Amino acid sequence: MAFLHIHTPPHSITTLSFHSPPPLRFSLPHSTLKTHQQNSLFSTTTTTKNTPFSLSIHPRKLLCQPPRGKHVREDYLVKKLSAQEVQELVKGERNVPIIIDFYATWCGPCILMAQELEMLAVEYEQNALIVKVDTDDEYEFARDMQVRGLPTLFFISPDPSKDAIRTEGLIPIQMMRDIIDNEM
Amino acid sequence: MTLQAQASSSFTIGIPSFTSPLGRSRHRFVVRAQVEPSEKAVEIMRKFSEQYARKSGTYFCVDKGVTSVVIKGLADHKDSLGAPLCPCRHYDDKAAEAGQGFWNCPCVPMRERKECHCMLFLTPDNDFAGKEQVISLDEIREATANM
Repeated sequence: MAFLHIHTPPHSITTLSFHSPPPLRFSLPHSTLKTHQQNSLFSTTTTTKNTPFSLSIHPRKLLCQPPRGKHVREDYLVKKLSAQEVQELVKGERNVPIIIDFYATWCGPCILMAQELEMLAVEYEQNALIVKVDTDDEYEFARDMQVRGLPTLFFISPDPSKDAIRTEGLIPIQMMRDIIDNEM
Repeated sequence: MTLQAQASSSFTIGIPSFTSPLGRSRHRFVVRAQVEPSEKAVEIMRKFSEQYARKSGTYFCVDKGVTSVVIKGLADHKDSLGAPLCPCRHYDDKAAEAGQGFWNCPCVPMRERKECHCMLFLTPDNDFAGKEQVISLDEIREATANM
């Protein structure tokens, strides 16, 4: 067991430690603090080996599959779209629900909502399409959609006969999951 | 033939200047968020937030990032409109709303029912409420550094 931990690269350890709240981005810089704590823990169990943790010159024997780095990206999963792009998306053919997040630059709860939506995007992956629209940029579109309070979420089902669902304000992530699972 | 061509070319050059600007964009003065509000406005809104939280018996959010962003939003509106319009709403006409006053911070819902949907002033029973009624300029700068 101890050998297994030595050979895995540092960033894989952080994916195991899913404490709440999870970091906004699943990327290295935010998780270095956790790796430091973990490293000191593992180094005490291996007194014989003094090789540096990540920078070894000779090839390592891989005892487990290295992480695919699916979510270690620079960009956020939730993309910011223009009004034109959103309209094309909604009109076009699709078989997953769309979630549109209307936000503003200096709206505090919108930041919390954005974090929740990133988590949701990771959970649902290809099963839901989550996009965001800046209401300061897309003034007319927000006005046409009668957006008032921010953040406002629109849940649009792939089934054209179903009504869209609209929520205003910060809502818990479980409510979003319920809407997607039950209403869409 | 050449005369005709010349006439048509001069004609086509004339057209774009008439057709491109739509009447709508000329009349409406769009107020957009600036890149950063001024330091002075941020300081004014910071002091106001602390004072109003004390006065109303409300607390800032556990996540001071939310508080910082809202304070900057208020400062931004104060700079552009002259009044701290609520940054967590979308308005048809920001200048008119600022003049009217319903959504000027502290807004009417806050004054009447202590309801702040920006999560700036939170009553103690709110899940997100912290224990502090103070926030420093450094905290605001740090929290909004990557925006």
